[in-house]
Amino acid sequence: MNAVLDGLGALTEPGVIGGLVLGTVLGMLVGTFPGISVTMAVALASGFTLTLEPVQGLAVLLPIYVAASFGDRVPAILINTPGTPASIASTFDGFPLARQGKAGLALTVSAVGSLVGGLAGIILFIVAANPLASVALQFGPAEMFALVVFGLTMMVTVAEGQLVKGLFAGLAGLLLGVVGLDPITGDPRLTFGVELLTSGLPFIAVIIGLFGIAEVFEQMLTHRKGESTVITQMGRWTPTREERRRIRKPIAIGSGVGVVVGVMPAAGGDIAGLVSWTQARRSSRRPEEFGKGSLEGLAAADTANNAQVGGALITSFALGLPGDSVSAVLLGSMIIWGLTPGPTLFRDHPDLITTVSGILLLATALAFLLSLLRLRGVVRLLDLPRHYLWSTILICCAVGTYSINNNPGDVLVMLIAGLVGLAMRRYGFPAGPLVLGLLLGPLAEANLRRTLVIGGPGEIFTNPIAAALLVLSVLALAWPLLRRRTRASRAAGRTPEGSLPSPNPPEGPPS
Amino acid sequence: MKGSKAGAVPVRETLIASGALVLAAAALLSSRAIEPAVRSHDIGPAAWPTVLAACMGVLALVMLARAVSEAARRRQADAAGASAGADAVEEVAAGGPAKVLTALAAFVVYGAAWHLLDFRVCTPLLLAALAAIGGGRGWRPLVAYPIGLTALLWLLFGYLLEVPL
Repeated sequence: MNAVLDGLGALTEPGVIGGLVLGTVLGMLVGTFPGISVTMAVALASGFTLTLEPVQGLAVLLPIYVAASFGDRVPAILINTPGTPASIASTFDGFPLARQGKAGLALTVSAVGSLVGGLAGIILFIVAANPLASVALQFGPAEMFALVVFGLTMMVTVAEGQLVKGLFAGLAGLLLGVVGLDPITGDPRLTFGVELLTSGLPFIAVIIGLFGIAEVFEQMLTHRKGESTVITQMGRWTPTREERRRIRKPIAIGSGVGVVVGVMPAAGGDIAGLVSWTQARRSSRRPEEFGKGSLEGLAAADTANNAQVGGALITSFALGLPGDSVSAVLLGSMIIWGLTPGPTLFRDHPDLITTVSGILLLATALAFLLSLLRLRGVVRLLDLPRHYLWSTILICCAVGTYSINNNPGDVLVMLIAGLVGLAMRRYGFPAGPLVLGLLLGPLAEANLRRTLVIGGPGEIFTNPIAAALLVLSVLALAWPLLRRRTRASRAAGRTPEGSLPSPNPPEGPPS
Repeated sequence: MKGSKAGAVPVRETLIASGALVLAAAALLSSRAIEPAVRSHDIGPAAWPTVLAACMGVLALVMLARAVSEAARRRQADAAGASAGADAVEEVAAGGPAKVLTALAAFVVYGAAWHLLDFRVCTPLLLAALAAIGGGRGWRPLVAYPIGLTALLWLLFGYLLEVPL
């Protein structure tokens, strides 16, 4: 009971409240601007928050994550461009609705879906995080090693079509995690005599480079003028009783799908939205409307996108396995604050689950209220010229990275990571597995070496939980290959009923 | 023309796989060069990175084999007159690489200038350069915006967070 009261008490501190409001507003803006990913924003904000108390830092970073899932619907609906990859499925029906003159209605319905989904995810977090952490507390080194391997394979398998490249990136991340001094013997490893590398690669600098610098460079490389047109005719905002009745079922589907997908390590909002949209169409009485402006499709996609946030945070906090790349960045910041994500987190900080749940609830409520504001200024912001966006992001990346250790060497690492990230994007290597490998590498190695010292190689395969997790890892890797073969054999002569629509080409608003 | 577009993808993938193989080989050599200062019962500091680098090598070989077999498949498809199709890679816009290289150069000059000049002097110059690279023209993006954002950053980092800029 004391832990709950302590956790709630932390929420009343002015610094926490201020951070929460700031984080929520920033998150909404981040989501609204296509071109700023949530991972990039959280990584950038990490640079600002490392000097804060852990709870204050969480009060900034978590609301960015939550609110961005509300903000990213706006450009998806108004300019047919997802604010973040998580809102891809929102474009399927959101933009057609806007072209029909129902942009206001689409924004309201998706905001309601986002609220319900967000709450579903948070409820699951409150109910499941602590019990899951308690179970994981019983894990020894063998189980922890197998759990990390499982987390890594899940990250790779969600990058379908890039299985081998995803695995390669994950292994490269694990290898980069080796850079520095050996944790047991103290020998320098892969430092090449560079003093800067003896303490390991600066994690925040690497992720800011991979997600911030690389994103801007990619946009500079491929951006063409006049690629989008903003919808300005908003129409009515309030759904009718019939429309409210119709969106109940897809919102329920989205909540269920979202939390399940979120709990899977590494599966993010984009997958949740796509799966939910497909499931809602299958169960709809009007499947033919999906992709052409269906409120049901929009509600299902946005609900799932937000519901996955709570699910992703469960595995991140309770097991130390990031649910997606945003969580990976969040975990990196927590480690720098002195918190150890994983089974021991809630044992060592029992008040934290209440504080985190409270932050998530308040951020969700605030983001929902902001979503209902009919701000025409936001629509104008979508037309902001790219040169302002690019130069602001680049300078914030540089100054934010420098401020972590006041070290120009970190900025150099950030720029190199940016170029590496750009090359990875251009050559089809997903950056997520690399970050996950970098974060989990030391954990995997330490547990593997402990296991080998305690019981030898047999310990990993004779321990039932570790063996089961390793079998699941193998199945997770084999599953996409098996599914691809099955699909290929069925493809001939079959109508694409279950296929997803491609995002509609941007066109002008109806006159 | 059709064949050249479709054939470019396997060549590109072959080059990517070759690059990955070189990277894996370099990682393997570097890992094997790690010498433990003290012998212990542990597997040693070199074992884990060596295994990782070896696995990367195996995956690079898989990538290479796939790229080569795909190239052969597309050659057959071209010979049969079928369209093999090209993988979707977002096309580079005209002037895109120049923008990236100029932005990088601006950062390098900025890094050197920061040692000599105050943050409040060199940052507006960098921002103006970056805005110009992005296509900004006129007094707003090239004068007002760089000065305003620099002031904001200095206030936040230099004054409030007390970062020695």
